Amino acid sequence: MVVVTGLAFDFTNGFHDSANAVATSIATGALKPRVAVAMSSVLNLVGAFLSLSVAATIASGIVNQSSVTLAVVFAGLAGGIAWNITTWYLGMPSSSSHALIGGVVGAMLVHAGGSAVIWSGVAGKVFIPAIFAPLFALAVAALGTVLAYRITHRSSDVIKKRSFRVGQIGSAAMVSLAHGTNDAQKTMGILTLALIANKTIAPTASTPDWVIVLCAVSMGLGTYLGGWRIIRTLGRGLIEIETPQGFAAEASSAAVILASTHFGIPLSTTQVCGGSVVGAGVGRRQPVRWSIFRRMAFTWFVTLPAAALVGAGAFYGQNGIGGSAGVVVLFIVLAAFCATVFGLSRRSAVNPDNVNDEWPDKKSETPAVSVAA
Amino acid sequence: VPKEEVVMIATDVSQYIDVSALVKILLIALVAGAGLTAVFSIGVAGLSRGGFGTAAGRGGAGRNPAPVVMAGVCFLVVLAGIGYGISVALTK
Repeated sequence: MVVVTGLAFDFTNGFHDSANAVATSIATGALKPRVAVAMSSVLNLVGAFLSLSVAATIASGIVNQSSVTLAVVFAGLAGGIAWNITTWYLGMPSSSSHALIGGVVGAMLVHAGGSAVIWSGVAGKVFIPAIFAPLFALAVAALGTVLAYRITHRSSDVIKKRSFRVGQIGSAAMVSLAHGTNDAQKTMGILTLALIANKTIAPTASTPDWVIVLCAVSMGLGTYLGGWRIIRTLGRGLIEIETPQGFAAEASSAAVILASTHFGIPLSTTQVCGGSVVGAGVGRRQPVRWSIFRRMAFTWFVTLPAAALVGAGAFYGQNGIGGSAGVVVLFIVLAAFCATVFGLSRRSAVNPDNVNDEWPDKKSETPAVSVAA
Repeated sequence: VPKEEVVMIATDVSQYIDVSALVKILLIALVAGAGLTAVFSIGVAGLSRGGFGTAAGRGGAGRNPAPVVMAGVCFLVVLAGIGYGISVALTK
């Protein structure tokens, strides 16, 4: 059941993170929405196989491994899923990594107290990258955009549009690959942790191949089925994006993520991509919808504590009922919650056909379109 | 080559975060992200000056080979940079 829940988390992760990777390509029309998502899924898988250094960090550096029980992992996943799906409903790209880590930390606090959480790991691996990653991405994307527009200032529009579109296919591919090497590995790390807790595999074992494949597949499905809400916010919500900007933004995201992967620093693809898109807007001195960015940034800050709260609550409830009954009850509550949010989301569905519609510039709370599904 | 130097120093830092790691990430990201974008743009500008995408350049007449060759070199540099970047990023 933990594995199923883990995959469910990856499914919601697909709503958020892999969606980011292709958002700008879809917005600029460089890739057809469905093609983009399919490509992203495949490259995520490739990326995950290429590097597992981040998965190892997550599995070992955040909580005390010997205190991890299946119940903790389960409650942590529940916290992560609940938060992911809530932010998804609001169309806010939030970091699934923070949601997951928050959920696990919250559950761990209730289970074994503060000493079982490696706080220096949380600070070094979560908080510091969370502050710097978006800023770096913003700076790099802004510079890239300035250069791209300066250099091609006198070039013909036709060739500009065409070349940067082709370039964007490549850069989007890079972001997906980079995501696979970094962010996608967090769930794999957590599932590895669960398998170790369950004594299915030895504590020293590396992540099994089937975990990698299943994670990547469920993430791809998640993007395909539900990522459109996030793609819309990132691709159309923040700025009206042109192909050179999309290219610069994606190049920046890919570079920041790959550089961090090299140092084994897990960061949030979501935050990097968000920063890059804003940077691309700033680089062209273009109006950025700061209100949306502010809401995004706020979401980023509350993600970890909020997921921790849900994770802690879930563990508390699960423990209170006790045994497998507790697990089953939590599972049902979680499923019911997801079903409710899905139900609500149908009222303002975003799908491949309307993902690129004009952004309504009114003060609507949810970035949704009026097309009913 | 400064980029290589940066990467060489960078391999020493792992697992924990310190300021120097962050600075290196920023430098690498600037070189790879913004730098390659610039090179790609030079390539695009080259294509444009070579007559691609203009009425005069259609069908081969009015095309100027030199900028097009330069553009080709630029695109190759970008590809090489990506390949190098991936291989460096994934080796620890």
